[in-house]
Amino acid sequence: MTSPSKEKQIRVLLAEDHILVRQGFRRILEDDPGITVVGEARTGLEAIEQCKELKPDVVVMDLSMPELGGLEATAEVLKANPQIKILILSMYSNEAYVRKAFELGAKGYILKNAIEVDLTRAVMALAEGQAYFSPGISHIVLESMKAGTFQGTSQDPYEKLTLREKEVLQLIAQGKSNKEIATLLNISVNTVAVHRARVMETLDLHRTAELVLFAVKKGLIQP
Amino acid sequence: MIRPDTEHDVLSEIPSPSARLWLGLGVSLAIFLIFASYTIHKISGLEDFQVNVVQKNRKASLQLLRLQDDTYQLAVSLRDMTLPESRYPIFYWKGEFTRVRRDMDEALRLEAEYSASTAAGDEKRRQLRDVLDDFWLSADLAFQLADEGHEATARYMIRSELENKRDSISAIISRLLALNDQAQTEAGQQVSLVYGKVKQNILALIGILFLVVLGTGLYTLGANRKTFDRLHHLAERLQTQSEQLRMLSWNLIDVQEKTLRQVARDLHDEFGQILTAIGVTLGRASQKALDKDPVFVQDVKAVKKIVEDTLQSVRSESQIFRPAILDDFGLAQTLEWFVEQFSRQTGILVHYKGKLSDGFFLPEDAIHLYRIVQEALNNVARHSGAKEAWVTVEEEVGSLSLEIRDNGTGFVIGPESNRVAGQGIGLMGMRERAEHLKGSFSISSSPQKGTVVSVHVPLQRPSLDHAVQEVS
Repeated sequence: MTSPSKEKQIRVLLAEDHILVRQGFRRILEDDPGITVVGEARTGLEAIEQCKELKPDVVVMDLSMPELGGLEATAEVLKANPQIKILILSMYSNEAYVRKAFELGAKGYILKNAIEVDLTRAVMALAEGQAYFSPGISHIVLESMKAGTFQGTSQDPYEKLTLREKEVLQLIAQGKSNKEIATLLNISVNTVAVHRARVMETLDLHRTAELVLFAVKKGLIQP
Repeated sequence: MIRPDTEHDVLSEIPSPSARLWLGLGVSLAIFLIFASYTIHKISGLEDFQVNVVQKNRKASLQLLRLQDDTYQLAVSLRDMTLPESRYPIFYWKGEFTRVRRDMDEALRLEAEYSASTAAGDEKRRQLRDVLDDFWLSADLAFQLADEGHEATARYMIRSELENKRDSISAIISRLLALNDQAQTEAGQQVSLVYGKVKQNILALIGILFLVVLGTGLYTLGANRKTFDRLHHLAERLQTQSEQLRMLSWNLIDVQEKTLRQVARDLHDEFGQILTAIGVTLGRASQKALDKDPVFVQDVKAVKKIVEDTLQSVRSESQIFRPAILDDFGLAQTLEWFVEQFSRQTGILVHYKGKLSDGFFLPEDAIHLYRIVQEALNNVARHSGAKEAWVTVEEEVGSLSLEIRDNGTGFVIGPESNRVAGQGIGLMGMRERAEHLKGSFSISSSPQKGTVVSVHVPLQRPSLDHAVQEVS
């Protein structure tokens, strides 16, 4: 593939756990001469690592991946590289997923069933600094905005946490070690460490004792 | 399931003491009746005896005393008649003699009527009658002599014959009185003999009844102890069985959840992804061939539509088996999502009110609360005919309360034991899930008033002391 201007090419990282789907995405994206897939990741953790190394323009992020999920990975990637645009891929059009994705800073959200039309367009739009939603979910975004529940930034930092992160916070407040938490939640110790860092970052608390106090104030544990 | 046979076997092991108790009661009653009738018979015999013998004997004695009295009067009259210094004419006493004779005749007749007939008594009575006849004959003769003017002869006759005869009469009467007295004494002895026997009988009756009652009582006690031992044993067995049943039913739920989770994951992750990949590839192929081969593009689009429809149904199946949102966003959002979907699918207006912070239940626990709501709402749709339902989740101090209410027809809740096997399995499952979370489950319903399912589950928040200890 000969490209007229290599500097203008959009550099994309694919984060998707299923190989067939990943290959499909890669083919669709590389059909467009303006797009080049610079890396592939199979888990959220891998996506974070790859972003640090490759600094892609756009990350195509599957929502459900083993170990660290797409939502947590999104937050973590943006913490280190806020300029990276993240496009969420999901099977679900539930409002909860859409809202959380945007709260965490994703710029696009597309459903997997209309991918061959949406994917290239969405990546282009995000690279140009625009937002993109699948037609199937734009009504959810509109309704949420109308109802005032669609807020990019919540007042309560606790609400910025994902469910997994809330679980980790609760277990930390109970005095559990990273290893214990990893066993309880059936994830790796590295993933727990990412969650712990995200929780501390989001809540702006940096010692375990502060996390415990926060948990008491929130009623996560009994005083 | 408990096999009904087993219960029957256990029940039949308990012997019924009824037959022997009835026998004991029957024997007691029979003994009582026999003794009672025997005693009544004895006592009424005694009564007859007293009336017939003793009373008559007394009356006869009275008549004898009357006779004796008369003989004394005769004695006085005879003495007066023969006193040398009293020279009243003899006929002067004739009226007196006539009166005494009448009285004695009357007394003699009554005495004969009352007196019991004994050999000695009859002999004496015959003698008395003879002597009296003799006496009155002599008296008549004496009065006749006096009437004819032979006063002296008459007086001599009175002194020589009448006084002797009167003495004989008095002696015979005394003898009869003595005989009567003896009979009276004998009768008294006989009466006390009968009383003694009756007393003995009553004592014997009481003794025998006491023994029979004691025997029956001891037997009852023994039988009761055995019965209670067996009942205790039976209760223990039932408890063990119901414990096992509960464990089994919990295991069923647990296995079901694990299987559903696995199936949902496989469906979603494997088939879902493969279908996605196929769809993506087909889409790309049709894009590429867009201008070159319109027929091919049409075919590819048709296949792609099939793939999309299949993907759609795989996705919704996997959501039904296990909603991914529960693992990603927790109970509150899951319930909100489910209630909305349920409303859309069934047309029943469900009002959801949820005040709940997430993170208190791990998904493995939250799934049970979700299943309770799912089951309860499915019941509303299937059986209640309700137009509206209310799902309320509230956090109270230390616990979570969950309520599912409808305005449908309701039903009569029978005791669980009355249900046919298979009925109420849903309710049992809900109860089992609530109890697994150390909570309580209750359902109340009445015809035309709708149904309320409510669940209270403790919030599993560890205490700070515990936490601080582990941190430091």
